[in-house]
Amino acid sequence: MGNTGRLLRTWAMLMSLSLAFAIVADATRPTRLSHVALLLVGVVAVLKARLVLADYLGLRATPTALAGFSTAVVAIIALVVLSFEFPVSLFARQ
Amino acid sequence: MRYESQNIAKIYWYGALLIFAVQVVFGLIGGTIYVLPNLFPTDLLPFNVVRMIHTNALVVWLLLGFFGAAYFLIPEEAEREIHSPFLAYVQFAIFFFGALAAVAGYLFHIYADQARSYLEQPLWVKLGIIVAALIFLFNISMTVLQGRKTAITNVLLLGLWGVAIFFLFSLYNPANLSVDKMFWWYVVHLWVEGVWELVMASILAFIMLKMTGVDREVIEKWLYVIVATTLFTGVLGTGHHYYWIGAPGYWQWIGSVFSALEVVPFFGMVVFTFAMVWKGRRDHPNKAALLWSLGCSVLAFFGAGVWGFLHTLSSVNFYTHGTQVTAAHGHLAFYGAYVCVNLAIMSYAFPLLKNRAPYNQVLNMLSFWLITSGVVFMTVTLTFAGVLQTHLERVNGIPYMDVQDQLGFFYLLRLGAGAVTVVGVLLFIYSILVPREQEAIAPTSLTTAPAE
Amino acid sequence: MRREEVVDISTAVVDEDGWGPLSGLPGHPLMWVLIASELAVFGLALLGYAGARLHDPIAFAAAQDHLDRLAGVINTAVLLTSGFFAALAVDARARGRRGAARLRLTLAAALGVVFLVVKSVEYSRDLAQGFDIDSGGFFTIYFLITGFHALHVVLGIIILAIVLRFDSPGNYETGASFWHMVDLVWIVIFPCLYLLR
Ligand code: HEM
Ligand code: HEM
Ligand SMILES: [Fe+2]
Repeated sequence: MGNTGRLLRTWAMLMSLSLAFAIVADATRPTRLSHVALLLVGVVAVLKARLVLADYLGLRATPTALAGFSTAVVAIIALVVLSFEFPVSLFARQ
Repeated sequence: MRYESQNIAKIYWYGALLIFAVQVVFGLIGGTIYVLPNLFPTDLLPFNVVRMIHTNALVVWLLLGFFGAAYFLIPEEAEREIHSPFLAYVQFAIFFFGALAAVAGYLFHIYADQARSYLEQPLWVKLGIIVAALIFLFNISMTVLQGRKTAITNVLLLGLWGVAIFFLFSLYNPANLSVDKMFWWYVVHLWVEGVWELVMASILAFIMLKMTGVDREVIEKWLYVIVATTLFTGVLGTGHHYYWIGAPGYWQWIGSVFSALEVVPFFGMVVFTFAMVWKGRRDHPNKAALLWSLGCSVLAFFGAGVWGFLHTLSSVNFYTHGTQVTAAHGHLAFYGAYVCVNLAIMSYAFPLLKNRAPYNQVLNMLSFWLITSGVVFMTVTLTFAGVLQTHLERVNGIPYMDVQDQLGFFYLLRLGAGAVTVVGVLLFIYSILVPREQEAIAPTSLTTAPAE
Repeated sequence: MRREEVVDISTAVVDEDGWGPLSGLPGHPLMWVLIASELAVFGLALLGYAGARLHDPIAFAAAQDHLDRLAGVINTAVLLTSGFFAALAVDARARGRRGAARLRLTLAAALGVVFLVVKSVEYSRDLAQGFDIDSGGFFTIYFLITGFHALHVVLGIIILAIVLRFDSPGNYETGASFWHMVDLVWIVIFPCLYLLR
């Protein structure tokens, strides 16, 4: 039964993190998020992805695979978040 | 060799080698025309005909080679004779006659002028090819169905059925040029970046199985992973040809993303062959076959994987489309993947088929290095030419022919490298066909030789 | 159906081994090849998105504002809950409770259908506003990525249905792994496309 308990905990955490998303990112609908909000959204996404990898996909039992997949997810999300901090003026065509 | 019907492979490979020679000689003629446009009378031997023979002969002999490989390895894998050797010879006669007739026809300017490279055969030749393919599929499928089924034969059959099915698209020639190109790529791309890759992987797996002594279970797992990634990336990777032909714009995304990942199966094959050779540590006397196999995976990785990736993102291809960069990639990819895999299985099988333990192994390996340096050098010069062409023509907007005038030096270098390639090819054919009294590598030295 | 009849594609292959590092993962090893490939595809697409957005951040932000973020949040909850039931189903099946496993897997699939319904409502609103896959810029990428993901939801539901029919513990693991991958992909693409701006 231990497994069910853990899954339930995971699910509850995923739900609250999703709610956190909604609050951080959606409340006031600014056209752009603040730096802090951008970072928070990224962190929350990574945390959720890790929970799914570890408990839903069961990679908690194989730490190497968990580390590998987590790194990939972190890299993707980090690059996308970072792109929002990129000084666009350097990049945009005149 | 354990089965009588494996001998069928010989005739296919003789045919293949003959056409291989024709193919590279016509390449050389084409390369000469680039440098000396007026050397050959243009009404008798125009460049487009030379080019057509060069590319069509390439596809035809590679297919003949695949047929031969199938007839060689299927009896051993299925543990039974080929269902009908007679049909196999009939198939050869039809196919080979069709190929020769097509080449002869090209010289007399008889071809399907639909601007579809590789598929210029007149309709009746195409139909002949299809009949031959049906005979072939019937023959090998019956053999496999009645015999032992292995991952290698399953993948090989899947690949060869795919080859035939996709060829059917060559019969459909819609009037709308965009649609026409889409269907053309269904044949050409889904061949070389789909089903041919499966054929290549299964032949390599067979060679690894025989030469390294690694367990079949392990080899099969690799094969499955390679097949899975090939199909996953290659099918939607077709989109990298849809960027500028009038297909919807979203193909730029689909093509870029999926074709970028096409590198994965090619890289997988490199890791596979090296891991097996390293793990096996069995000193197989046929060093030449091993050299061709390892060379195959590595050169395919560079030609298809690296040189393919170079221009596969739509933002890059926007500039390089149809320049010499493409020709550079076409040469190294076709050579590394499909020429090498054919020469690898021939190098492995011919000594067995001819029951000739010593054979011209050193000459064979020399030919590997000659052909490989020739093709790699051609690739490099064409890449330089292509980059320059891209910049002058696509960025600076200088007219096509003015740019070509500035590339003459590279075409001269390409011609030289091409000549080396042709010499290497002739040497390979000699090493395979002509017997030798004594092997240059003494059998005793084999135990100390490193396994690459 | 008797137990022996169940076709189990998972253990049949795993037991021979030869899968190396893949053999320790739950479900069929080739499913993990697929999962890795899918992540690579969606990952590359998102990087492409980030690059394309930099070329025209203002237009992208304007387009993004047309998305229904609430629908996205709801769908996140739906998928994660569905994944929860799928995980419970695997757990139940492993302990031999076939009936309970079936019920949970059916619930998981049903929530997948709910996801698709919400998504189609969203799509129809987008289309009504005149945005489609040919609009270029943000909307082309948005439709490609979310559409490709939705296709996987459809495929996942089909796979879950197949697992319900051939319900060995190994097949449960394999099918659920695919389903969780679809979850995982959504968790990554949703914030990138809807929230970050
Ligand atoms: C063994 C495998 C391959 C072979 C034999 C091959 C061969 C060729 C050939 C002959 C062409 C020229 C077609 C024409 O326009 O007439 C071509 C085009 C192209 N190939 Fe490959 N290829 C292979 C694999 C790949 C891979 C893996 C990639 C990507 C990573 C790739 C990317 C491309 C692209 C983008 C073009 C279009 C070039 C242009 O726009 O002009 N190829 N290939
Ligand atoms: C193993 C050897 C060879 C292979 C696999 C091969 C393959 C090919 C392919 C696939 C193409 C079409 C490229 C495209 O559409 O982009 C081609 C064209 C061509 N090849 Fe080769 N080739 C080989 C040897 C040679 C040699 C030895 C020469 C001699 C110089 C040569 C000269 C040419 C020329 C001149 C073209 C036409 C290029 C154009 O239209 O601008 N090839 N070859
Ligand atoms: Fe292609």
